Amino acid sequence: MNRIRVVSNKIIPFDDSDIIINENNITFTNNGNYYIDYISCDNLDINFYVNDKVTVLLFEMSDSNSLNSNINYNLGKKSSLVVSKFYNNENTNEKVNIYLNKTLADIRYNFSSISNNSDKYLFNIYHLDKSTNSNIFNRTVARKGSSSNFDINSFVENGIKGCYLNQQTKIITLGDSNNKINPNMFIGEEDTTAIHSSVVGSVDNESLFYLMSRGVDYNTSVNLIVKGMILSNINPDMETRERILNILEK
Amino acid sequence: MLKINNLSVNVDNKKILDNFNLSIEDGEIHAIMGPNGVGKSTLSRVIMGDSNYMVEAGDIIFNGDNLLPLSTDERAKRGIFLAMQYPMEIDGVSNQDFLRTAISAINDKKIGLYDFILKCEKGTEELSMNKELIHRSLNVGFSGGEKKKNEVLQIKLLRPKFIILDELDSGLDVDSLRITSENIKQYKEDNPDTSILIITHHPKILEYLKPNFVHIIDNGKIIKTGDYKLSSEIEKYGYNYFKDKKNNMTKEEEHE
Repeated sequence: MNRIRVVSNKIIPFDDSDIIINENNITFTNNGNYYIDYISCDNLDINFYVNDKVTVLLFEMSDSNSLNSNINYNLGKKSSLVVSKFYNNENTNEKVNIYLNKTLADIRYNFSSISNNSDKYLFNIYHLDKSTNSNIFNRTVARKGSSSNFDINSFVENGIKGCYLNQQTKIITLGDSNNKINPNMFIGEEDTTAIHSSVVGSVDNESLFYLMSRGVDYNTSVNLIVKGMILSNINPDMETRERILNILEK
Repeated sequence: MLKINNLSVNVDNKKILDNFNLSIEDGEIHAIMGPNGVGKSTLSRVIMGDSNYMVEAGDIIFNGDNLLPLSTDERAKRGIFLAMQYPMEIDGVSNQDFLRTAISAINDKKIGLYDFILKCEKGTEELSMNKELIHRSLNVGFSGGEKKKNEVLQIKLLRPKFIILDELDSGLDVDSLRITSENIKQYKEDNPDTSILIITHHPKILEYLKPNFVHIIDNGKIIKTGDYKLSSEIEKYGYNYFKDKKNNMTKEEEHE
């Protein structure tokens, strides 16, 4: 996996013939697997471009105090982008725009986060050509006293046929917290498949009962379920998994 | 081993168990049979400490201690195991992590990886289980038979003293029922003091596990107790026969 470092809001250039870095733009010209670490970033503005017929797996991670970010993903014809992203910021205010520009562009966006204080996410997913697919999976663990807000908007205009839209957001609360999910699908075309689900709630009692009936105490059971939800969504490599587990243990 | 005295349990203001009594000695196998909705699964959940069930009266004594004040995990640590009718699917929690955590919790010490792998390999082989299931998320995508085998694998690894089998036979094909039952039978032979409570509506599983006592439950109460032969009578006459017989006897007693 190739590593891209973004330090203090700037992309650190490095030699890789499969990508082009130009100021805050990263263009993927060939298939690849990339890991991006956002280090000491507080005001981030990044544009990703996936060229036609290119498949990219992108892992993004941020573990910082406060992050304001504006991230745009632009996908070309028959391109495929799988984003796996983990955030553990004290505060986050992020705007994500996904542009499915050409036919058969496909994005799978898996986002897991710990909400520590105040997090706001705005997603705009634009299906701009026929037979484009979007799968958005957000999983958040809201700590006591935190607030999380997800506004998720998908757009399909009349005449853009055969698109597939999927939004699934789940927030597990650990104690009192203020959480809101606003899923919107603005669909002007009949030939569209759309699915969404939004869940805010505490850890499932039946799952807890099952684990505890095998001798696992309450706190360990909650920990197992939370870890499971966070990690299964993003499926990180072993090294990243250890890093995330260390964060979750805290 | 287990003594249930005058237990009454309500769910949503409806009485599910009514002044229920049952006594199970060390090493005994009991079967509770009855149609749907008479309180069989409620009994198993209450013994295990499911907080959704409100105990109105009575007590449950396990090896001299009252279980009711204990949490579910504390009951499991005392040696009680409930093999569930519908084992939970928990995405992201690997079967392996869960089993290691549970074994460590039950024994109050961490199990070494090598020891754990050996035990899992032996258990899965004896149960004719796909070894890959150990690495998958807990019960996620398992077939009905695989879920039940995973429950029995947990019995083999956690080594309980008192096992409740809540409709282990539901959703099992003939071969899987034979394999899971034979594994439980073997466990019982290896651990003769272990007691088992089988909850079922079908007599087939009892052919393998041969209970010492069979109880028929209706409206939250045991209406008849007999030996293994009672299960054959149930198959022959149906539950209503015993229910009507009990009702007639009660009427006669009231008349006298």
